[in-house]
Parts: sequence; structure tokens; C-alpha cells
Amino acid sequence: MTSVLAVLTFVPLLGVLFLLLMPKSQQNMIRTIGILTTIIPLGLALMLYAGFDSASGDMQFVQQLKWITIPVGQMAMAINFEFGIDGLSMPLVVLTSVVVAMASLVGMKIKDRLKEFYALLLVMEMGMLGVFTSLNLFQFFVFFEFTIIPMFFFMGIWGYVNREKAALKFLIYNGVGSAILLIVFAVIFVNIWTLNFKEITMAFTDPNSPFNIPNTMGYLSENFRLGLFIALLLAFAIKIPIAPFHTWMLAAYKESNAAAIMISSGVLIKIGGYGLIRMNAAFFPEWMDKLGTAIAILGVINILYGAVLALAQNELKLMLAYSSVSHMGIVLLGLAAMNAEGFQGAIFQMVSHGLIAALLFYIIELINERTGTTDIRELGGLAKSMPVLSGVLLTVTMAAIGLPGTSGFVSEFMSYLGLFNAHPIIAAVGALGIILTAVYLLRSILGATFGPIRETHESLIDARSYELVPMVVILGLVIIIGVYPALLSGPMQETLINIVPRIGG
Amino acid sequence: MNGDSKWGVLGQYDWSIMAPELTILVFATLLSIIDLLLPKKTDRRIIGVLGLIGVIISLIFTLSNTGTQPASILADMYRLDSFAVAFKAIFLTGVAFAFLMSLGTLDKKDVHYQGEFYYLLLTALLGAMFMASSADLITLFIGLELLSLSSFILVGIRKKHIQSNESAFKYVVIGSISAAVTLYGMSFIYGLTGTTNLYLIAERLGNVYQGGFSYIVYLAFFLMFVGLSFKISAVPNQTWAPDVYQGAPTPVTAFLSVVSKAAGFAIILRIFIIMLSNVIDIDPTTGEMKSLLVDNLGLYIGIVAAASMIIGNTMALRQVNMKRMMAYSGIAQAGYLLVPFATFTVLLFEQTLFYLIAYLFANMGIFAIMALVSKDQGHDEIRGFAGLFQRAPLLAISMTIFLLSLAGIPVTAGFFGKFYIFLSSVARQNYWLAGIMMATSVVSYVYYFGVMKQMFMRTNPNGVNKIKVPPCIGIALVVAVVVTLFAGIFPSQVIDYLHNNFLFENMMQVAEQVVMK
Amino acid sequence: MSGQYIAFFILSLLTISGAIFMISFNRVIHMVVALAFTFLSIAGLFILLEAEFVGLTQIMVYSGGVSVLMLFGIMLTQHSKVERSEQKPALRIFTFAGILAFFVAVFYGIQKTPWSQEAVDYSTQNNVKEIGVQLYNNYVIPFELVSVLLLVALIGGIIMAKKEADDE
Repeated sequence: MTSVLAVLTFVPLLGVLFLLLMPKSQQNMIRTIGILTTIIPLGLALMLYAGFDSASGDMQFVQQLKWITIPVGQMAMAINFEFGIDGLSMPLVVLTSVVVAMASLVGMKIKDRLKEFYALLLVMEMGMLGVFTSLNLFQFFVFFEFTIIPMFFFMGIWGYVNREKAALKFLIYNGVGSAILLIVFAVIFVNIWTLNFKEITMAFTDPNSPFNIPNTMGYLSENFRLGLFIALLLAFAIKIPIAPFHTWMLAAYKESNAAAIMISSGVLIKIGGYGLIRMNAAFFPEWMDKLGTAIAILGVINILYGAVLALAQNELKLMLAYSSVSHMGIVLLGLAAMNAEGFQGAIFQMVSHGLIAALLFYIIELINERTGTTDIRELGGLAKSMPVLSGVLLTVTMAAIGLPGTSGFVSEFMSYLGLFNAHPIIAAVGALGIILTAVYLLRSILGATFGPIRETHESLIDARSYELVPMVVILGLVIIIGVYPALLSGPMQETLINIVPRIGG
Repeated sequence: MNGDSKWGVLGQYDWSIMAPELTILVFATLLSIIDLLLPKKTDRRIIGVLGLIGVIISLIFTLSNTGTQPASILADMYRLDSFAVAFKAIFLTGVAFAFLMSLGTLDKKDVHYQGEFYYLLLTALLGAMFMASSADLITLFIGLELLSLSSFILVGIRKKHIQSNESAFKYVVIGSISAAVTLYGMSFIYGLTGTTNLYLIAERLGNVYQGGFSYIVYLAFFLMFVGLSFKISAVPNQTWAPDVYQGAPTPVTAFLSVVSKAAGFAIILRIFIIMLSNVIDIDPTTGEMKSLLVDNLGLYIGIVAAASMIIGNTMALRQVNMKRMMAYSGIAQAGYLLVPFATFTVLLFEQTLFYLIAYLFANMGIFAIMALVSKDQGHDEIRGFAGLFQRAPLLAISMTIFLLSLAGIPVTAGFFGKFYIFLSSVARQNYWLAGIMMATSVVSYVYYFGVMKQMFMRTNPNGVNKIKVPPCIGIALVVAVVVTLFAGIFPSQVIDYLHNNFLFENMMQVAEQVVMK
Repeated sequence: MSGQYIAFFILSLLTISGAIFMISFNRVIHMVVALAFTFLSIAGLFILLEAEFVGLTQIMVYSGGVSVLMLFGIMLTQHSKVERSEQKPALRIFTFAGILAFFVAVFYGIQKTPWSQEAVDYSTQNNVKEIGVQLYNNYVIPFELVSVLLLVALIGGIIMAKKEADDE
């Protein structure tokens, strides 16, 4: 059981190996291997969930190997290869494996360069799982890059006309983000001589650590910490994305294929939120607390800006892109609260939005495939020709709005609850976003599904059986979490107390 | 044997420590004679194969010297220490790649003087090896000139190629000027200390600096640095690189971009680190003591590094020709390689070597593939790479690995090399340099990934015929890929090897004069 | 002002102006003559520094050998006036400013530095013998390396200049 995380992370590579050995012409075989390989991490992730000890807030399933030692004079700087998960990363690991397994079904529609499609998808899955299971910054960074580079190709090879530009934009924005991350990591490394999350947290927060005693050799000043905090915030702001760093997302969502968007909106942007909790909040809790208001304001700006612009879009994909910006603002709100409810809300929102956004984009892509457009003005009345598909679309939209009984409700409720305790005025302003969300989502989705139908759209094929799989699975999860949130919040409690010592204090 | 032998003092020395150089010298001479005796119609590749054998023998001799105590002949006129061994191993590997590349792609119609081509490569290598393996300004300078002169001819060897002629001329002019500038700087140092031996200079320069000659020391440093920056194609002496790279035959371009550049770093590090090791700057008001090299000159070297990174990376964005792009990329890489020197720490030697190794294999791989592609397409432009993935998937994947290594993406050697370099600049709190380094790295993504875009996302208008890979290039590529990935995934193994076998202190130790037993 | 100083001034002026004329003349033959002036003046400078062996070598090899060989080369080959492309004035100003700045930097440095007022006296040593001893003992490695260098230069000259008769 000790190396289960390493197996989980690297098992997709095994699939890549199999794929490389397959001849190009065996399309069905390639599809089968690709889809089956994504099932293995899913199974392992569920096993982890089952075996997870909710009573412990520590890292579990830890495995540590020696990796790199850099000799410096008589001493050495060590970087380990270490895996482990806690209540924060476990839900995200499960989310990743679910979303990737669903995205792999998009491959059913792809005929061109299928082998590369699955190979890249699996490499990306390895990267994402690695990001969430890594226990040190260096390893985190390596896996982080493993999500960006394959995504560049993934976006650039399959997609619409301007896909290459969109891919480059994605690469550059994320490249800037990772460059900032690397600077911060290096600064931490040369000052504290460790990259391990736990050790860094100890070094920064333990009052007895030499870095926290003023007027001693190793003391790291408050300004120094603030600098690191802001740099990290900036890096993750690009990832989440916080306006005005969201433009890469618009181009990417407009021009890429469905699988790329599902993964990007479902998992990749959650890395930003994960990083904010794992690094910003854990390493520099006092600054997170002091700057809570600023972060909350950023969150509110994100919510309102995203919502207003989503209202103005006629293109469904762009509407959803802005809605992502808006929804990720809620994550920021939860974090800014700096209390248990807020943090839970943030993590809930990450998982919930990951599932909902992935499914929404999937369905939009199905509509696009059948009608050739995603423009609301050209759609309408789809409920007549595709009742099942439209039904699912409406349901998941309700979840996105935050209807009670769905995961969206729980996450928004908790985030706002947390923020109301900490910053009531900002929370009140932010709550406007809930209304706006309902308005823009209903406007566009109802516009597409009801009303007069075009003649050309009268006889469309409803959801095929394999297309139903993602709908059923994701919708199921969304409702289960909504009805029984303890599934998710249970394992989280202890960890959150552990990660942020100042919570509640 | 004693000093009374008929060879005089020269007979006292154990010349066998010079085996690597002597091997190259013997092979160069041998090849020129064989070239003369071979019938005109015979394939000259046999000379190339022999040359390659010579390089490999020399490499074996060199590596057999790893980890030994420093030794010298004639008061460090020739000096064998870990610094020399490490750099010579890099040069020899680089030249071996250049040979493999030439054997695979050199076109008789293009390069008429094939025999000369091969032994000029060897003499250039000989020059480079002396640049790494001496601690005397005169020997170092002659090595530099031997390398320069050989490469001038190699650049212009495509006589019917107008670009080749032009670039060779440009190279000669700029090369001579920078050699003159270097020499001018050296003359000041000689004038101040009365010796050309670096260790004696180091002994005397400290007092000279204190004795009111600080301005002249600065002047000499800048003159020498500007002159030597020609070889590493760093700002301000970088303008020749794009034209010369474009005009030269591809294996020569590869040689210039790797071996010649590494030799430039060898001579720069050797001269300045030893020469300025005792020079201490005392602040007149506070009385604070600072090392001139570590604390004061770091700023200027940092500025040169930053300017090289910025100019190289931004200019590379606009290139449509692959060789020109690689020239600008090389300028930027020179900037990265100067960072450890600008932010002097104990890690300097290992950082530079690690990055050079990463750079060597990535660059050589890229040029080898480029040589194949441009031979197939008939031009050197980046669009020639379009659809390479469909035509030769393995080539495209190896190319991607090399490009990722240059861009500094995990898990390639280039990533760890950059991270490693990065540590010292952050540790010295040189944040502006670290910031520029990262920012320009991101800029470099645009053009490195631009090539990948061509390979994976475009289709070639000239059809999807396969590209045939000659076996010697195949070998070169396999080696380059394996090393790039190995050093990227297990950097510790490489660093440990460097750390244990190539001691930096070794360079500062007084060498034993090896005497025959 | 000593006679040595005046001689130095005249010789260095000749060296520099010879070099400048060499670049700015239009006819090849004039260039060679200007170059010869530079060579000769450099020889004079060497002699002034009591390096009479180097000075004489300079006269024999450069002023004698190289210049005469160049003249022969010019007379035996065809050539027309060198066509000059007009330089941009901006570039000229920039170059001039660069040179001026460099001159100022060096001049300032030399003026500022407290040079020792006593000249070193080498007149008791035998220059030629000393050079020979040094060259074949201490400096034998660079000396041999120079021979390789010359060989390379020779080969290079042949490659560059040879007319390809066997080109079909």
C-alpha cells in the first residue's frame, strides 16, 4: 500500500507505452486502451478514498525516495521524491481521475491522430495526479510543467481555426506563472534548505524555528514573506484565473477541443486554488489573514466581472468561460474568509465546479457537433429534438446556479457563510453574483433549449449511449455531494485544522 | 634522467600528460598526409572516420586523467587540472558529434575540400584544448588564435556559396578585432605584473591593485572580457553569430555553437578567476573588504549576461531561418551560462559544467536533425520542419526533447541546469538577474515551441515522404537523447560525478611539476 | 620634453595615420604604401623601447616581406577601384563617439595612474639571446603551437585562393 500513490501517478504512462506499440490503423483498439487506462487511476483513487483515514489530518499513504542532492561545500541540499495525500488533495485526486476518464470518451469522436490524442491525455493525467500527490515544491513544479506542455499540443492539434494561437497564449500565460513559481521555490530553497511542504510550513509558522526569531542570522523578515506571498498569489492568479489574467482562458475555451476544455476547466485551473491553500495559506497564514480583505475584493471582482460579461455573450463557450471566471471567484471568497467554513467552501467549490464545468462543456460540444454552432441566436428549441440531452443540460445548469440538493449549493453556501463571518460587507456585495449567475445561465441555456426551433435542427440525434456515460456519472456525483456533503467534508476537517493553524483563532 | 640530458630542461618533464593534445596533433598531421596520398576520386569520408577515431582516443586519454592531482609542464605553460579535463572532455564530445554529423550529411558538391574540412576541425579542437589546459596568457592566446583561424576557414569552406564567403569575411574581421582587444587588455596585465603566468599574476596583482593601479586593472578586465566575449557570442560581441551560423556548413555551425563557445567559457573562467583571486577592494570610508571579482565585477558580468539573454531571446522571435534562430538562442544561452560567473558561489564550476553538458547535447542534437531536414528540404528555414512528426516521428520526438531542454522544461537536462544556475543567483540575492533569466526563458518558449508547432501541427507542402537517417547521425541522436533525459531525471548522479571528480579547488592549487622517473 | 618623447609622438602619429589612411584610401596600391608606413613606425616604436630584435624583425618581415609580397600580388592580378558603399552618417557619429569615449577612458586612466618614474633598464641583457632561450625553453609549447597555427593559415590560404580547375 505504500507505493499506491506512485502507482496511481505513473500508471497512465503504462497506457502511453501500450499505445506507442499499437499500429495506427487499429483505431478501435487504441480507443479501448486509452479509455481503459483512465479507468485504472479512477479505481485506485476510489480505493484511496475508501482507505483514507478521516481522523487524521496528516499526509497519508506517504512514500519517500531520495532523488537529488546538491553538494554545497560540506553540506548538501536535498530534494526528495515523495508522495502523499491529505484531506485537501484527496478530493482533487478523485476529481482528476473522474474528469480525465470522462474526457477520454471525447476520443470516440476523434478520427485524426487518435494515438497522439490518448498519449497526450494520459501524460497530462500523470501530470495532474502528480501535482496533487507531490509533497515538495520541486516535484510539484515538475508535474505542473507536465500538465502545461502536453496541454499546449493538445490544444494546438485538435480544435478550431485559431487553435495554434490559443495554444501559444495558454503556454505563455502559464509559462509566466510557472516562472514566478520557480523563482519563489528557489528563494525558499536557498533560504530554508528544504522544499518539503510540511517542513516549510514548520519553518515559517513554528515560533521556535530560527527563521521566525528576529535579529538572528536566519531570520526572514516580514517584507520578505510578503514578497513571496504576493509572487505566489500572482502565479496562481494566472492559473485560476483572476481577472485581468483570464484572457488566455477565453482564447483557449473558444478554440480548443472538448477534452482540452474539460480538463482545463475541470482540473487545471483548480491547481491555482490548490496552490493558494497549500502554499499561500499554509506558509504565510498571517499574510493571508492580513490580506484577506484584498483577496476577498479580488474574488468579488472576479464574480461580478465574470457574471456581467457572461451576460453579454451570445457564444455559449465564451459565456461558460466567463462563468468559470465568476465561479472561481467564489473559491477566492472562501479562502479570504480564513476560517473552516470558508476553506471547506473553497474546496467544495473547486470540486463542484470541476465536475459541473466539465459536463457543461461536454454537452455544449455535443450540441456544436450536431448543429455546427454554439451561438445562442442560432439555437433554440433543442429540447424538442434532443430531450434527454437538453434535460441533462438544464439539470447541470441548475447545479451551476446553486440549486439546493446539488453540489453547487453546498459550496456556495459554505463559502459565503465563511465570508459573512469574516467580511460581511464584501460578502453581501459578492452575493449579488448569485443572482447574476442565475440570470446569465438561465438566459443562455433556456434560450438554447426552448423557444422556436430552426428547421435544420428539427431532427437531431439525441444523446448516444456512450455520450450518456459522462452525463450520468458526473450528474450523479454532483447530486450525491449535494445531498450528502459529508462524503467530501468528512476527510477534510482534520487536514484543514492542520494546514492552517490560525483558523478559528 | 636529470637536467643534463641532451634535451636540456625539456627532458625533465613527463610529456605523457599531454597525450590528448598530442593525439589530436598526430591525427591532424596524419590525416593531411593521407589526404594528399589518396586518389582524387576516393571518398574522403575515410578521413572523417579516422579523425573520429583520433577524437575518441583523445577522449579516452582525457577521461583517464579525471580525479588526478593537478600537474603541469614548464611552470603551468601546460596545466592539467580538473578544470582542464572537464572542459576538454566537453570539447572532444562536441567535436565527435560534429564529425558524426559531417559523416552523415556533408555534401561533396557543397564542401569541396572534405579532407581539409576534417583536419581543420581537429586543429580547431587542438586550439580549444589548449585554451582549457594552460595557465599562461601566451599559450592561452595562441590556443585561442588557433581555434579562431581554423574556424574562419571552416566557415568559409563552402566557396561557391555567397553567404558562406560573406560570413567568413565578417567572422575574420570581427574575430581579429576582438583578438586585438583581448591582447591589448593582456598587455596591461603583463605591464603591471611583468609575467604572463596566471598564478604569478594573481600573486602580484593584489598589491598592484592596492598601489593605485586599480583603474588600469579595471580597464584590462573590461578589454579582455569584451574581446573574449566574441568567442562565447555574448553581448557586446554577438553581432557576428547569426550571419556566420547561417553561412557556415551545419556541422561547423554546431561546432561553433558548442565547442567554440565552451572554449570561450573555459578561457574566460580560467583567466579571470585565477588572475583576480587575490584582488581585494577596500572601501576607503568603511574599510570593508570586498573581493573585486566576486563582489564588484559581478554586477558588470551580470549586466552582460542580462543583455545577452534579452537581446538573444527577443531577436530570436523574429527569425524564419533555423540557423539564425539557433544563433540568437545561442546568444541567450551564453547569457544563462554567465549567470553563475556573475553570481559567484562555490557551485560555480558544477553549475557551468552541468549547463554546458545539457547545452552540448541539446544543441548537437538539434543541429544534427536540422542538417538532415535542410538536406531533405533544400533550405534551412523553420517551415522546413512542417509535418516532421508524420514524416519521421522519432526525429520529431527527439527534436522536441532537445528543444524542451534548451527551453528549460522538466524533465530534461536543461531544466535542472537552469534551476541549478538559478539557485546561486537567488542565493546571492541577485533577484533582478534571476527575474530577467526567468522572464527571458518564457520569451524563449515562443520560438522553441514555434518549431514544435511546425513539427506537430502543420503539414508539409512537399508531401509526407520519409526521411532517411544515416546510421552515424542515428548514433549521435540516441546518445544525445539518452544523456539529455538521464541528466534531467537523475541530475544527482551527474552532479555527484562532477563534484567528486572535478574539484574546483584543484584549479587554484599549485601544480606539481611532473618529472620523469 | 625629452627626445625620446618627441620620437614616440611622431612614430605613434605615423602608425595611427598610416592605419587610418589604409582604410580610407581607394586604390589598393595606396593602401599598401600606407600600411607599410604603419609597419615601419611600429618597428621604430619597438626600437625606442630597446627591443631592437623585435624591431628589426618587424622591418624585415612586415615592411620588407609582407608589403613587398602584397605589391607583387597587386601587380600580378587585376583589380579595380574599391567600391565603397556610403556609410550612414548616424553610424559614423556613433562609431566616432565610441572611439572618443574609449580614448577618454584610456587617457584618463593613464593620466590618473601613479606610474613609476624610473624606466627599467634592459640594456645590459642580450636581447636576442634571451628571446632565443625563452622561446626554446619556457615558451616551447606556444612556440610549437604557433607552427600549427601557421600551417592552418597556409592551408586556409590555399583553400580560399585556389581556383578550382577540377570543377566539372
